[in-house]
Amino acid sequence: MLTKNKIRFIIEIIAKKLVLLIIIVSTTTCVVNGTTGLIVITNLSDRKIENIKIGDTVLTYSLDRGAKYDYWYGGSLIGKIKADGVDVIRASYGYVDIENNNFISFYKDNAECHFITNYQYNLDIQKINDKYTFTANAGYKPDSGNSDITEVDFPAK
Amino acid sequence: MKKIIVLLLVLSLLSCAINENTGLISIRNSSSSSINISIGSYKAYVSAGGTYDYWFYNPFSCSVSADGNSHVYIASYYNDVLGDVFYNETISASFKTNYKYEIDVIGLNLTDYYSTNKFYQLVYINQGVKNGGNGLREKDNIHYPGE
Repeated sequence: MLTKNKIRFIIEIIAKKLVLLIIIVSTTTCVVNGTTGLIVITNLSDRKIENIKIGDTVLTYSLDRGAKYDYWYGGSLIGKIKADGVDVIRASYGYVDIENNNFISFYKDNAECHFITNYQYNLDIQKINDKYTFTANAGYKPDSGNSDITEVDFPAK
Repeated sequence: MKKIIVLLLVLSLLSCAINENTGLISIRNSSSSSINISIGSYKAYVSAGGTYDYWFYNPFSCSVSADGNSHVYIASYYNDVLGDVFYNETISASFKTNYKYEIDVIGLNLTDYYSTNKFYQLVYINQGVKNGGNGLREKDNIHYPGE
């Protein structure tokens, strides 16, 4: 039989552990590296966007107008971007023109996308010319071994 | 103890959103070294590969700088001839609520004539995009912080 004091004692123990957990979670910050990638989605349109997915992976079920959502992942995310409430889905596609030391890039509609670790990708939802447009921009890599040069990855394949 | 838990839960559940009273400067450090960026009196430390969100609640103008061997470039206007955004190497910028600004830190390792390696961090303060705007239809959909 649990007495009031015992229940209070158990609640105190759970509460202390919960506080510790919350403090650890809130103070631990992730960085993009060889085992971790980051997708930052910002809804800059005037309506809520729902069921944002890459392939079968749900990134978030709902994103209010003006809201930003960070999705950290390990391993790669492969598939087409899907979202309820958008008219156009486009992803950055391109390659490096080594000879001319330049990037050549453009957007592909409804493309198969690969999001890999070691990169951060910014995905923006905007109303452009009355169409709700979901754009996956090129990803930036923070470190490239000995070169120290930031590299770019185009998610559309 | 209960009050602390409630406070922490409330704080963890509260999320900011860009609106008429709130703007966002989102910093992404894609270089291999950490960097300190000063936005007016506010100082942001961003580790290599890290991100940093600075939410603000009033439009403001300030000087922007970064430590180390860095150069700061601020989006100033759209160049119709080149069809691209022009970045000015200046120190003053303005930021408005209801807009989202991205700051990209890029690493660059250059070898000079004497085969000496020099590491630079290029800080690009990009144009702000208005929340709830209609791109190509509304003139104020984009704001250039260096204009």
